Amino acid sequence: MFVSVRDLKVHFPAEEGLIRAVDGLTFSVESGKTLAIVGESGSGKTAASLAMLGLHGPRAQVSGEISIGGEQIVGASQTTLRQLRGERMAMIFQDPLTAMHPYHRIGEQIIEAYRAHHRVSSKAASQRALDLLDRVGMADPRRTFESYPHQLSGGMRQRVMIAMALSCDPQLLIADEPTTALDVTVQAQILDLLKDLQREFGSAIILITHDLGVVAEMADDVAVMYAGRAVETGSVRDVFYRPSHPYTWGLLESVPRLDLHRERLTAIPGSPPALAALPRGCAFRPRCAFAAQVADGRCASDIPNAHDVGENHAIRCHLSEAARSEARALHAASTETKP
Amino acid sequence: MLRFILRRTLFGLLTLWLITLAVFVLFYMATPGDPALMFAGEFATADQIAMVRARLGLDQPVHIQYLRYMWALLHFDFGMSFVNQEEVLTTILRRMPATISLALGSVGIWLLVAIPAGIFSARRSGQASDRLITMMALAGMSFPTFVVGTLLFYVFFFLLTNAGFPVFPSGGFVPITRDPGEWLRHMLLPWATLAVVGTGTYTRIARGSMLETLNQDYVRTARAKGLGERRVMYKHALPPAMTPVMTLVGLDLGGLLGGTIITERIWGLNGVGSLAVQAVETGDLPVIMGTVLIAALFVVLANLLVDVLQALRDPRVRLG
Repeated sequence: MFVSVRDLKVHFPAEEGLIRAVDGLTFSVESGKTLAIVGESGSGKTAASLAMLGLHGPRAQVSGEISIGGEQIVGASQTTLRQLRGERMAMIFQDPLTAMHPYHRIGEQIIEAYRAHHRVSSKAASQRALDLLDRVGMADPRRTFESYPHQLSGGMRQRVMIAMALSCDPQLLIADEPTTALDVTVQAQILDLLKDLQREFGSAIILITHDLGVVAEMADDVAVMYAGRAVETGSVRDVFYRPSHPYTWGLLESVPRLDLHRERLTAIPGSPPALAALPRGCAFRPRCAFAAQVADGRCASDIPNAHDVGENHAIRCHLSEAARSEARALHAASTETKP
Repeated sequence: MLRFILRRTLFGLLTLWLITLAVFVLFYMATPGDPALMFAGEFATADQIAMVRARLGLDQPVHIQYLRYMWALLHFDFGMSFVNQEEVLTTILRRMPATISLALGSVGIWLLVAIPAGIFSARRSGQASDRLITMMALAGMSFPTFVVGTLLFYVFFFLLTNAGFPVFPSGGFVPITRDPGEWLRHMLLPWATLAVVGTGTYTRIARGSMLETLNQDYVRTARAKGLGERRVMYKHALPPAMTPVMTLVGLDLGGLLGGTIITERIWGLNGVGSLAVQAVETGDLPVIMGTVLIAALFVVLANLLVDVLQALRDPRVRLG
């Protein structure tokens, strides 16, 4: 496994208590593959991805294990992290306008990323920047090179961000909601670009998103996050066609689909728990329609462990196999009603 | 860029014009008492007063008075002092060196102290050193200038001189052109007087602004690129963080160049501030008007300068 994350925890001490942004996250990604981390806002997706670059400040308490190409990230020195960032793993952020420096030209910003890890002349670095801009599909690389971020369109900015992230051929690319701020047509272009580049460079991609459409388009594997934990992990096929966690059911039912006739979308009742005051036991229990079917109130007392429900398909849920099949049959019936 | 400067300059001129208009209304149309009487003196006869009124043009209709006033202003002619019959401009120009020395020196000192202190504090936000700096800044801000000045006077002039170390003079001004060493010796305590409050205020602003900038996405991007901490701080975070500081410097420097009243008084600096006070005390209308207009001119100029500097730094302002 190129990327392996074991029992990752990211906690922030705060006045209202310890905020458990990530609380025991485990997943892995192979080179050339894409893992999508899906979840609502506040489920810990971004906190987890920042931890992978070691970008959390001193106030965050990060524990667990993150290994990227054999390199341990948690507990690594700032010097080590700085050498790895950009070089081995790079990140694409949600809003490319705010993620780029408003005072610096695009060219400068790419060159800076490249020269952070390569001792080359400024001429060679400029050439590299121009090549990258060309590679990410800028029509006029030289002009983009001379531009400032605010002079570009949203899609162009995200291409530039990608060029910047790719400047040192990272083996892991973390894309945090890379298309959320973009128009739908531009979204598709950016996703295609990412796929092309992945094919070309063979890097692993971790795609953070709340958009299940993007997941279906891009990912090989999915981790569904809820309140800082992965409640279901598996291949896109398994998770989309044989979802096994009640939260995943809810998530899939809240997506509009053209192939199904539904009177209205089913929202998951309630809202995500406050991360500083997680309920005892399963964090999803207060919103779960199936908790009553679990004996001894275990949902309210024990945090469910991850267990396999298929090959490479695991969930964190106390629901028995039988109860789950029954519920899934119901779920399947509700989603397969053809118009 | 040129268009930006042009627009800002026009805006500055408009501001200045509005101020001159306000001054005209205040001094020509709403003055309590008769300016001609003040000018002619207590013992003047009715004829003499009428003569003075005619000479000052006060017997003319308002619009003629206004046109004459604007015409004179455009030639930097603020008229003659009622008190000593000297050109107001000459008086003000004679007072400028002290005021300029005080303003530039104190602003320079407080920026040199406050910006590093603010950055240091922001980078250690929440830690003991940050709390200490924040507390000291608040204390500095809370001291009124006259308390700081009096305290400095007592400690560094009175106590030090009594102890046999006459390092600092009690006050007065020596032009830098006459003796740079003496100029510095005379300016240090006045600078410190203003710098205490200024340093406090600017440390807080620099700290707040730096904290905000450090939380910006582009600073995170800089770190994600694998840049060193120093480069992240000084190339990525610091320049945008200085924007509010610069804006405030524009206002404060403009204000200080218009004259400071308390500090000039304490240290016996005969600057524009003390000139304004004297003029108010003696009812010397042309001098009051002159100092008000000069102060306004400096505020507008300093702001214009800051705007242009800001545009040079930030392409969104320059090209936006």
